[in-house]
Amino acid sequence: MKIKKAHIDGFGKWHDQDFDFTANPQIIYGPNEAGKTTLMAFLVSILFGFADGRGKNRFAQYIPKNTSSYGGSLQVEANGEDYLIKRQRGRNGGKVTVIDSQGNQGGEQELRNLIGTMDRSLYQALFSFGQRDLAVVDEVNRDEWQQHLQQLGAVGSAQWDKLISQYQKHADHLYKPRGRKWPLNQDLHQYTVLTDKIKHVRGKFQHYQDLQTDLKNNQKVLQRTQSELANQKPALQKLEHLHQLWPVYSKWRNNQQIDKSVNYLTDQQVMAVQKLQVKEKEIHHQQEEYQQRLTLLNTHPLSTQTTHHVQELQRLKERVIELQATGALQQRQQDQVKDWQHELNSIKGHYHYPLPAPLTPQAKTELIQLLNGSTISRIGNNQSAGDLSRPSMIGIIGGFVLFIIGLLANITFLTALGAIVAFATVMYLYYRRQKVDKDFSPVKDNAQEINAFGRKHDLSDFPVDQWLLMQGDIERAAELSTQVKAAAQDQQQYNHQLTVFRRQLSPALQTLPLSSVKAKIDDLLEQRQQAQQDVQVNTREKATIASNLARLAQEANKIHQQKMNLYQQADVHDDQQFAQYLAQRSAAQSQSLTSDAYGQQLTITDRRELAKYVSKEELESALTRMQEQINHLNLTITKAQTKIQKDKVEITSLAEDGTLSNLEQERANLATKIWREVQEWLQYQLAIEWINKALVKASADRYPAIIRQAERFFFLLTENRYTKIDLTVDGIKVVRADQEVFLVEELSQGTAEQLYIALRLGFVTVMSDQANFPIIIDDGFVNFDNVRRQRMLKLLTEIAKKNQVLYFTADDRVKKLSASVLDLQALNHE
Amino acid sequence: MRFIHTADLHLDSPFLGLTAMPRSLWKRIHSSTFTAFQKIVDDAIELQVDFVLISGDIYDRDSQSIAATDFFTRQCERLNQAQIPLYLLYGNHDYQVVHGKDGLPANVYVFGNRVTTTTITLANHETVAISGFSYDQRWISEDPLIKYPPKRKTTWHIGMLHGAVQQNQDNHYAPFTISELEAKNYDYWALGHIHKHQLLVANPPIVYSGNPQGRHKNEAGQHGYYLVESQGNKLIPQFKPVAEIEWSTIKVAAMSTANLAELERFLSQKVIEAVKKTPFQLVELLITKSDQLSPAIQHLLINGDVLEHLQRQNADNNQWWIYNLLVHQSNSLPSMTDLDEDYWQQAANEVFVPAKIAELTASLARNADLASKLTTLDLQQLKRATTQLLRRED
Repeated sequence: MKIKKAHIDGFGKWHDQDFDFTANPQIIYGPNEAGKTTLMAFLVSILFGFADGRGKNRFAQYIPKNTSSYGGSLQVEANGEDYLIKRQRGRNGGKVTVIDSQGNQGGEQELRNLIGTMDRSLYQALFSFGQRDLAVVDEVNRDEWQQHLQQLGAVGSAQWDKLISQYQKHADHLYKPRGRKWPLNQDLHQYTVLTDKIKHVRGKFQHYQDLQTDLKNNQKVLQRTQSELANQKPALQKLEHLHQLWPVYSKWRNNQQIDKSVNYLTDQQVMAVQKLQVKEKEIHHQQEEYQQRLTLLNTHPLSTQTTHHVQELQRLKERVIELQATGALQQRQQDQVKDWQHELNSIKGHYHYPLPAPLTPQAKTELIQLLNGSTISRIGNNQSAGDLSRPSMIGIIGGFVLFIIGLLANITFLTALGAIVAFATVMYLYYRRQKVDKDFSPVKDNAQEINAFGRKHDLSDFPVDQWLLMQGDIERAAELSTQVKAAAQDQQQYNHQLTVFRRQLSPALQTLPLSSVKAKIDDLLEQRQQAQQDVQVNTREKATIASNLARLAQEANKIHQQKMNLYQQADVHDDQQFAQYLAQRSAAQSQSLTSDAYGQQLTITDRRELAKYVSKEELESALTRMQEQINHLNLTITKAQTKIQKDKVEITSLAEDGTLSNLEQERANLATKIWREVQEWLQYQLAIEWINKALVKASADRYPAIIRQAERFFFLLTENRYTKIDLTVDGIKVVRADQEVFLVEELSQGTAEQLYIALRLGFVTVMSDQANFPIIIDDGFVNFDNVRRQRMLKLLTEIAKKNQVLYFTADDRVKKLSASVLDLQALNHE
Repeated sequence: MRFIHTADLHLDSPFLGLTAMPRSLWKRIHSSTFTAFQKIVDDAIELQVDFVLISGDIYDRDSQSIAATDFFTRQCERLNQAQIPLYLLYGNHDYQVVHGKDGLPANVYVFGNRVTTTTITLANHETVAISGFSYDQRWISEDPLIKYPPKRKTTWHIGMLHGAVQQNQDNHYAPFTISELEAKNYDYWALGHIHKHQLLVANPPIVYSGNPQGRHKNEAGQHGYYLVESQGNKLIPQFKPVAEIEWSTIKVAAMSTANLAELERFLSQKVIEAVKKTPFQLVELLITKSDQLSPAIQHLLINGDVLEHLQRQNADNNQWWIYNLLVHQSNSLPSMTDLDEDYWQQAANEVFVPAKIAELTASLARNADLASKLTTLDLQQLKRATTQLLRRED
């Protein structure tokens, strides 16, 4: 490729400027600040894109400050065709337009076709060099050259590079040695994780084996303990048997030791004692009863006064009876008196005057004679008055009977009815009698004599005719008066008697009617009599009791004596002791009884075995020890069984735990996957290697040519002083004409720069059939003297036959060496 | 006389070469090593064999699991209940210093670490001498045959041995030669270690019983035990398959299609046609003529997409499971535009070398398991695969 012309629309300090690079080599002169570097940057930028604005590149952008247009165009010749490459402001290195000689317009793709695999960095590394590059000549080594060779696409197959990068991408997407997120990286990590897990899980195998051992040990322990237990059990049973027998044995043994010397009463004796006790008790009881009776009797002593009292009462009673009788007579008399008085009054009422004294019988006779008497008949009505008629009696009695029945039967109606009937009857009788009493009829006599007589006999006030008649009344009246008087006297006497009597009575009785008094006295009398009788009975009883008591005491004494005799035999002194004695006796009896029975229960062996133990405690402690031993064995068995169970469960769970198998298979599967990935990755890597190696092989042919060319250039530049260049992995060696070998480091700076240029140019010229780009040299040879510079220019001229050479310099002397010099200073001044 | 010869139970060891699989399948696979031995014990009891021989590798010592130990003990106990003696020795995977029978039931005889001979008298009064030894370390490099006694004067003499026939190099597993075995004049050699059942010699039989259950694709085909019966003065082994799961490879030539679903249906159908009906088959599908397929489908075949589809579609068939899908790759190198074939070959000679692999996989080799596996890489296979890769990108 050759750059024929350049037009800058705007780039750095340049704007709207044309450059013509027709000369070859084209020397471009410009002092400092003339715009050399800017122009070089423009050329590279149009071909490979504007620098982006990042980092230090932003100073390589050369965006013009005084014009809006950025970029420009190059007119290039490639593969015998002319193209216009135009680059303007745009993304990703600017907008590119490529126009061929036919006017066909293209873009990036067309540009790529023109420049191939060349890029900015490779171009600058190979085709563009300045003072800076020359300074690092000793850093060049074979690998780098090799790389450059390949990068350049020395073998002409840019697609291999593409393929390589594609493979690299594939490979990198599978695995990166230091990566993490890539599948193979991850799988490898997972594999490690799984392996760790497996290791961990497999650790359980030891545990499993330990468990098996443990299980076996426990089974042994179990077996041993079980057999031991089997051995111990009969011993325990024997001890338990002995323990059960012990109470029997103990009693039996005690019985053997009981003091036989103690003599107990016979049963008959005991029975006798018991009988005696009972009798004694009975007697005592009887005694007590008698004593009680006595006490009771004594608490009601009946005085001797009683008798007297009785007599007095007897007398009083008699007196009362007398008085009652008298009273009754008096009552009757009083009744009569009343009658009498009544009669008298009626008589007196019959006569309006006081009645004279009665006539004597003579007088009477006289009178009769006087009068001749008219008789007065009298009909005795009294008869009916004194008698009670039969119906009346029936009424009274019937009423009374009814009353009584009523009372008895507590029938109010009958009681009332009876009372009414009796009362009515009584009332009836009374009225009848009153009526009878009224029938009187006075009798009268003659006058004179009569008068005289009357006067004499105080009868004058009365009609004569009545005198005689009256006599009856008068007599009657007198008689009545006398009777009344007598009655009154009697009454008085009776009252006196009554008063006297009453005074004898106790105050309580004094006011009572006689009948009551009598009743009382009767009562008292009866009581007294009863008491008297009682006293008599008591006295008799007491006597009996006393005799009984005496008898009982005797009896008791006798019994006690008998009892005490027996007690003496039993060596006791009272009942209580005897009761204890009896208890002891019966206990002893039952003891000896059971002991015999126990004795029968014990075999001789038992006895012998039991005899080994002094006490129950000893046997029990032996038993306890044995039980503890057995318990211990049982515990051991239980523990062993539990452990065995636990071990078995754990073993089963371990055995059934598919974790390890799963993990192993998972890992095996992962290993398969990894292996596939490794193979795939390896295939990519090997493909890359293979391609590279094949390319190296293909380009290796160029290598000697490059070295030969470089040797030739070096020979030229050093005036034939150095004949050979040897590019090794360790570095570059040169051979001087005298066969002396030097390392680059040993060369002078100028010679080293010459060597570098020779190599560069050798490379570029040899590779020019593959990659022909303009060689840009920036003010290179400051360390060269004029002679060397002359040779250099001569060499450049030779190289320019194949490659376009653009030589930028600030050295005005160079300007004179060539005619066609592009003077930037001059352009600036236009 | 009748006995069972088995070996290499590898109880509870994982299946290799599988990736993801359904839970039910994993269960079936996991239990298969157990089930296989359980079936052997079932048969032993049912057939009333006189004894059972196990010629080593009952467990993987490196991953000896509780489940395996527990299971094995229980199975021994079953035999014990049936009064069937069991003779076993330990191999390179379950090597151990033998002290007694280590918790196994009374019917189990464990061979010690030195060759010993034990004799039993059968019910029919025949006597059987059995010689063998257990590994006490992982590797036994010396020939153990010197220590085996010559044939005893018993009715039968059986040799038990866990080991491999002597090779030119790397003889770590009690190396022996067949002629040495024959020289002992035993009536039967019950061998263990090689997982493929085979008769090294038919008469008198020198037999590898193989493992009763194959655990990866290299253990394809039938697996089981040998039922050995006497006929006259000979012992005749008869193979009895017990494996619940078999590994197999099915080769299918790709049809010409650009339709993925069609291809998948086609492949499933081909598997159904080709696969054995029993036992359960773990199938590796090898696809040839993949160049008839569109690049897109080829890509899906290679990146595992199709395999995943097929697995999902046939997850529940209960007869087979495609665990891997391989695309047969042509061996030719890529044709490069402007690089000579020579350059490629020269470069390959520098790239496909262990040193280069080691350099590339330095960081991967930090994983010990992976490191050991990397040393077993088949470089030629790798080169083929890489070639395929480069061609794919053409």
